[in-house]
Amino acid sequence: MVLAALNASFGEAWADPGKITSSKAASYLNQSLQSIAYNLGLSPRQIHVLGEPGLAHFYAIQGLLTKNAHFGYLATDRQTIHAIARNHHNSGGRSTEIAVDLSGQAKSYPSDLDLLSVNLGNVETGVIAATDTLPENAMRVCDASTSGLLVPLPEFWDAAVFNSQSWGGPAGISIIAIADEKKWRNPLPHLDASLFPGTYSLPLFIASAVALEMEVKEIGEQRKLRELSSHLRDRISSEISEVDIAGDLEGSLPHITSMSFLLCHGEEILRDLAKESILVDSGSACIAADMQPSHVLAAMGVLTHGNIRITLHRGVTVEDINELVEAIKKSVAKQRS
Amino acid sequence: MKIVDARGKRCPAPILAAAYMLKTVNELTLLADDPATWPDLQAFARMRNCKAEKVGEHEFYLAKAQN
Repeated sequence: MVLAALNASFGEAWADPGKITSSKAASYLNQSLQSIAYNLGLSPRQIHVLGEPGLAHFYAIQGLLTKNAHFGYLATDRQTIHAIARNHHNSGGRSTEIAVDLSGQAKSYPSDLDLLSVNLGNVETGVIAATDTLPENAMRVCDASTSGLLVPLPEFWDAAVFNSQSWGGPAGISIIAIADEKKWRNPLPHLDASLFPGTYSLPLFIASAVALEMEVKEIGEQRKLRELSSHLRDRISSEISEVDIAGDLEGSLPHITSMSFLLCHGEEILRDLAKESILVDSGSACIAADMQPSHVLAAMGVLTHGNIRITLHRGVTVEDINELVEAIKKSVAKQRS
Repeated sequence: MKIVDARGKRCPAPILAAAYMLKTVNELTLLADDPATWPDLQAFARMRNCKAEKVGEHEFYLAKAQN
């Protein structure tokens, strides 16, 4: 259905919606904005579309960050956020990396933060930041680019980053929500009062809106994924010794599970699973291009070697999970023998 | 004290070498320059109830827990 919407919109909504002759495209744009805002529980005035997802966190954070502000971010936040913090520090501002415990939660927050990055679902471990312990005085920029619809924004937030791929939409579309435009300024050189460049693909945006509508209708699937995740975690922890599973079931996204097996090669497990046509990812150093261990796992104190990251997709069954567990058991036993 | 020299070896070889040696001794020094060594040695110590210390940039101490 998303593909059908994409094909249709490439045919009908290719024109620049800003031009007076393309009212059809403008109508599609408006409907899609309304739909995405409604399904994310936001006002259409609060959402902005960005066709450069790699810049989304920069826009959201930097737009709220003043020169002397104190910016806090978790040690497990994505590397892009670490880079923004380093840049802020190098420009004379203050940045504090906040240590996390074994469950991936902040140990404590500095009391004088001006802006805090809040991760609503870690891309590597699925760990959701606890929002009941957030400092009250700091502005909050929420990273919802992995959690999408699954985790609601906290009651108080100032900016949030969403990514269409988190709800099954196409790559290349980010949504940035800004609670109060008066607090936010465009951090890049700009010619007019536009907050964002507007250089995104309208067909991709329309497809993103359709994908989100479908995701809302199938939200029950997420409950199924949580049950499957619970089954996966139970079987792995009871049937394989010396395994670290990052984060607990209740505090994590239902579709992402990261687990590390002591004295095993992550790459070897990946290879064994691939032979069974099971594709997973890894945060182990032997897989990384720079040969560095996952900064997320290292910050949590979770074992970084022998790591696999499992993403459950819609349609996965309990039989699939059982097959996966048996394949992992076989690979781990082979390596440890 | 027994020294396990795993310098130049990639993760998880240093931890594997230390774990293997710890079967026969109560404490050891591990020399390793792989960046995953220290985070993984701490995780190993937690999981196996051992004691791990970072002695130098590429030098670590590992001991079985005293009962």
